[in-house]
Amino acid sequence: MLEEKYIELIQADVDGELPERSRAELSRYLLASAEARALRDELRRTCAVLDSVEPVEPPADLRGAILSGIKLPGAPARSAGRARAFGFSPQAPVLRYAAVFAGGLIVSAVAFQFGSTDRAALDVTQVAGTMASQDPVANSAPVDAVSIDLEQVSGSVRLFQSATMRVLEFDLTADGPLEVVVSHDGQEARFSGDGPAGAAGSGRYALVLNGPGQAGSPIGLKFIASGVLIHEDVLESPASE
Amino acid sequence: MSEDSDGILVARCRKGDRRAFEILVGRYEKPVFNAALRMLRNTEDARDVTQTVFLKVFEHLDDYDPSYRFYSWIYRIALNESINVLGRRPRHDQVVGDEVDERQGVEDELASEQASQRVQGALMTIKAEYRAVIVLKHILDLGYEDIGRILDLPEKTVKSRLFTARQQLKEALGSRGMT
Repeated sequence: MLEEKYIELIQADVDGELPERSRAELSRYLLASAEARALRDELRRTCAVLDSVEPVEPPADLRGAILSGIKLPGAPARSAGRARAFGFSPQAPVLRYAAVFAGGLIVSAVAFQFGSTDRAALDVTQVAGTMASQDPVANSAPVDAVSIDLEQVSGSVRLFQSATMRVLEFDLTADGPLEVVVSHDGQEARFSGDGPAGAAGSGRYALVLNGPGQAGSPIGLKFIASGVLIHEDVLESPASE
Repeated sequence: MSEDSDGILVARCRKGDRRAFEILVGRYEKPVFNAALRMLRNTEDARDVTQTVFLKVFEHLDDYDPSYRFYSWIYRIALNESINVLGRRPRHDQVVGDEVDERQGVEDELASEQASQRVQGALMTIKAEYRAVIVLKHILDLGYEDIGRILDLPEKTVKSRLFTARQQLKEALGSRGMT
């Protein structure tokens, strides 16, 4: 019958928590006791089996479901019950979008970079409207937001709203060419961008919708990779400020 | 930003920084889910528990004492929630042995699924309080001190429970041809 003290030491040894001061004592005991050695070997076998259990990846949509249930002051959460597969990858570099709009926009669309005066990174040659000279809503809380965590793209899109305009802020990372289609009130704006290899540094880009009568109408988002629609979503804002 | 300590992230969350909370979720989603899965042996229940855990974390951020490790706090919530779910299960569902959880689609994809299933089956044969120390030790890879803090037990009791749990598991694994 093994003494409780030595059982504890044997287990601590197997667990890598044996105090240095007890090491010599345990060694002597193990040399002298076949029963102690058998217990140590048996514990090691059991622990090896338990340690062999591989961690399981959580369901792909779990993170999005968690975040959709959380309402932080910084961004409102989604209404419950939507099927979502979103999350956020904070370590990834931010994709810089060249803003290329399809024609036919009735609303005035403006692309600008938050917190920077360097706008050379944006290709705005086809943008309808003008560059915003300042960020009118950067300090306000978003009225809606989505986080995306898909194989091809991750990040977030947030919607800000002031009395005169709405701003879509994109903070996305893609592993290859990606097209984002923003639809609003029957019109579409298309963004295309390359993957991280074509990105330089980090930044946030935004689309400003400052046409009349927009507040309250939903803004559709489509994410297209290699010509395939990989995700759709909708951002909504209150009908009035 | 991603290298911020848990304490800093919690502080940012308290100020309404959604991204900080997203980082915390990214950091702890997997261990919390796995702990719940091993406690409950049911993917859907583990998923529900994981969601509840983060909701409770968020709701009680102001109660979090930064002098304690954040992971101790979140793992304690995870285990308590898992045990609550076990308590709500009909008695005949509490010991499921080697029954196959048909909803375990995630785990079914793993190459080591059979071995994991047998270990999981063995785990379900021991009491939840013993299973909890096994999960903390072998799934979350924590030491005696952390386990004691999470379960609010003296270290000596942790060692004792761990030993008893392993002895019981040795028998259960042996009957499944695993030791």
